Amino acid sequence: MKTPPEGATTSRRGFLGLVGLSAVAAASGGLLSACSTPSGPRPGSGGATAAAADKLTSLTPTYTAFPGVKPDLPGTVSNLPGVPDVSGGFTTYPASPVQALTQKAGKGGTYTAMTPLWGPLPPGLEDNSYFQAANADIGATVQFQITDGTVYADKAIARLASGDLPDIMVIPSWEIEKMADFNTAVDKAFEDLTPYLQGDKVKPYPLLANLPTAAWQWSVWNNKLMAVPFPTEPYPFALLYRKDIFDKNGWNTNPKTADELFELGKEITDPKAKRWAFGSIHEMMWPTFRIPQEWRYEGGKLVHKYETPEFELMLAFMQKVFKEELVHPEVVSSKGANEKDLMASGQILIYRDGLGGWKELLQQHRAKNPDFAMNAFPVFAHDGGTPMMYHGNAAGIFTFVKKGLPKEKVEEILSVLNWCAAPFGTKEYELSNFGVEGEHFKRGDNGIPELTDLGRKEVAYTYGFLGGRPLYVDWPYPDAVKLNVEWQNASFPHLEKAPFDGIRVQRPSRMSGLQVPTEDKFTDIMRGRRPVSDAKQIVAEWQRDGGNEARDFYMKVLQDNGRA
Amino acid sequence: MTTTPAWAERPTRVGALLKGAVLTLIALSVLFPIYMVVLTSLSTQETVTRAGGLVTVPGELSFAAYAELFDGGVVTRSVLVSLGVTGVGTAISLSVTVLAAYGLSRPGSLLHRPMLFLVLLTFLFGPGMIPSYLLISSLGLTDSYWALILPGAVTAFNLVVMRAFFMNIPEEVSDSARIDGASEFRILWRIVLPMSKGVVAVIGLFYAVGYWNSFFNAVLYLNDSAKWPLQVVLRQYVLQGQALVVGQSSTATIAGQSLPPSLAIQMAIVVVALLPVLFVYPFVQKHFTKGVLIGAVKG
Repeated sequence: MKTPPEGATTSRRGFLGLVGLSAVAAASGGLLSACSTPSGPRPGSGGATAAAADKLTSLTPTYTAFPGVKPDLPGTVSNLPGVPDVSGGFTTYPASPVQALTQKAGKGGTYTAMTPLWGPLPPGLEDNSYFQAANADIGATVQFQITDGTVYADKAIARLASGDLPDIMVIPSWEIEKMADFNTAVDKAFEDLTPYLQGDKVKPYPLLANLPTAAWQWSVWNNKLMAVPFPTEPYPFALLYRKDIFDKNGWNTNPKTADELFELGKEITDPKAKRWAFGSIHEMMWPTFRIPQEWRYEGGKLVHKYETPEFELMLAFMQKVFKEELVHPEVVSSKGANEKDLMASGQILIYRDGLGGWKELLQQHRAKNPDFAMNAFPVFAHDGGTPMMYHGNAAGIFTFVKKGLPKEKVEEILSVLNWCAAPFGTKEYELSNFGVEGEHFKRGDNGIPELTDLGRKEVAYTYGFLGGRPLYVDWPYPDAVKLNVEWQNASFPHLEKAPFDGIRVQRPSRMSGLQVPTEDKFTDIMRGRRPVSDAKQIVAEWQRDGGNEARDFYMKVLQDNGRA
Repeated sequence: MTTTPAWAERPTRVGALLKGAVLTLIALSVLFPIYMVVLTSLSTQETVTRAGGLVTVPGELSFAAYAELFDGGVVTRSVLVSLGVTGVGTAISLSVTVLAAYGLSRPGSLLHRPMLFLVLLTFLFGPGMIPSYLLISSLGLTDSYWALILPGAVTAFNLVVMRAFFMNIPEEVSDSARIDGASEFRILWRIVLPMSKGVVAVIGLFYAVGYWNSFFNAVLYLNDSAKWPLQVVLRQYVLQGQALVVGQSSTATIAGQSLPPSLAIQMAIVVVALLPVLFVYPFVQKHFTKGVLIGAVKG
């Protein structure tokens, strides 16, 4: 074991007390999974302290747009506090990517970096020409300590507790959620980046200055800028459909009410032809029924989503959908049904997924079936009124620097992160995503990089996690990019203005623990095993078991921030 | 010639048929999922897509999933790591367990009661993840293969079972050897162990399967992914496609070919992870019929 240099680590005993031992906290995991954009609960500021993003602006780096690349399809600049922008999209791959940095980022240092990975393991640094090429371009050696993305929290917590930390540590926000006292641990474990990045101090790192301010606001803990953020797209999910099959059958691609969606479902469903309209859609029905994402503030009171009259309407609607057998039987019988495979085979035609799921299906099926196409339904309200859509936080993943490193090392690391933050359309991005041209990738149709055999073995998404970059839609399918950006721009005006927008507040663990058992009961109603009238009783149980306590907590947060 | 005991009734034709049918059903319920897994692992994307999941009717067959797995050397290397850890680990675990069980099975051994108490205590209290990590880290074992072997080298359950088996061996046998001047070590080696082949084989298998399947310790203690054992490496393939966490996965499609179906890869992984255990079981199975727990019940 390498012994950390003197002073570079906090005592293990100290850490034990700081890091929440409720590591596995399965209870809070209901909403959060590796394949969905984090939504709802905000990453841990621990306990009753909550920080309003609008008060944190003075801490964030001054935003300076990187002039080198401009998307063909413009996005939407967010005017909501803490809510991400729509970054826009590229319909073509730039013929000659621009060189974003004129000087070497590194000064020859060697740094360990712990990152998650959701994919096949690449060979290690010594046997991997992609890592070697990227490190050579950076001018420093980044040694990745790759960890299984699904058990990342376990390892991160153990390492935080032992003080045995890498120089650079990536922690996704949904893992921070599982760490009970992250707010305290973050101070002990990681370097305060405020003196390096606040305001105009970010100037030496132009690509970090290109990250949206809303994303930086999520990187503040204890009034200090603690991490480099990975910006996200605003939408946690959408209602996706098989555009190719819809077009062929002339079905309604723009349902405007819940009833129209139901009729559409009836028209599509034909069990004899092994075709059902829906996979899992109920979470998308929440915004459709204008149910708040978490809380609604009205008349000086906080009302939780379960308590709204709209929630009961949604339950009744979903009960009708299940009763009419419009949902694929495998989805009905199993929570783990592979809806993507069912979509691909045309057994279901509409389901709820993140926009990333759209791309994944295209990647898997476009090559063999050039007609394969998908789209998202325009957002609509159940009664045909003004639609509403949920939004996620502006940052989903954070990159921390180990505390106690000498100033010049911290600066070199930030410079490395600056290299990693190069956006689509730059040479640095190309190298970090595809490796070296001619070796790891070659240009295919329309100049789009295609990995070679060597690239497939060696290139893994690693540098990309070290800090983020504006999240352009850069899929190699121009038609889908256009549809995606259009949908994102069209949905943006309908984003819910929630009472806690821009306030980072950790959901009380008791309330998190209530979520799964309570929603299981609501599932019983949707599946027709309990009458809709039972909803009131379920809500009463929720209130009794911790819901009311949570309301008091959230109310105090609103008052503390001058919003109530 | 019939094997029916004298006191048993002759089975009726219906009874025999029913038994046959039930046993066939049970066998099918085990074999059919394995058939689906193997078939899916050998199927092309079209076949998997047509089936909308696991394949039951064979279509076009392809070894693409296996080629994808073993391409690049990472999986091959991890197979060697797993074999090494399983071999060394099983040898160490068996040696320590046999020695400890023998010592604890002799009533006169020094401190055998407090020792046994300590062993039994581990049934009740697990160490917890963070204390374990602190221990391994303080011993300087992070990033070392020993971190996969030493923390779980002895399992209290296996030790107790083996001890009970040893206690079941008549005292007279070892007494006679002792009279002939044999040392304790010699008694264990020449008398007790040859009489305990069954339990040693079965417990050895338990340990080996445990090491072969070990996953979490490797995730926790090995930072250098080049040292990962097979199960951790294979798991990464299962996660393929979940990288779309914030819509950031690579833009590239694969030159000249499309990705093998992820379900086929997942099933190929199941097959690869299953095979060694499947091969070893028939050789140890005969010892199961003798019943490893006989000693435990009688003891």
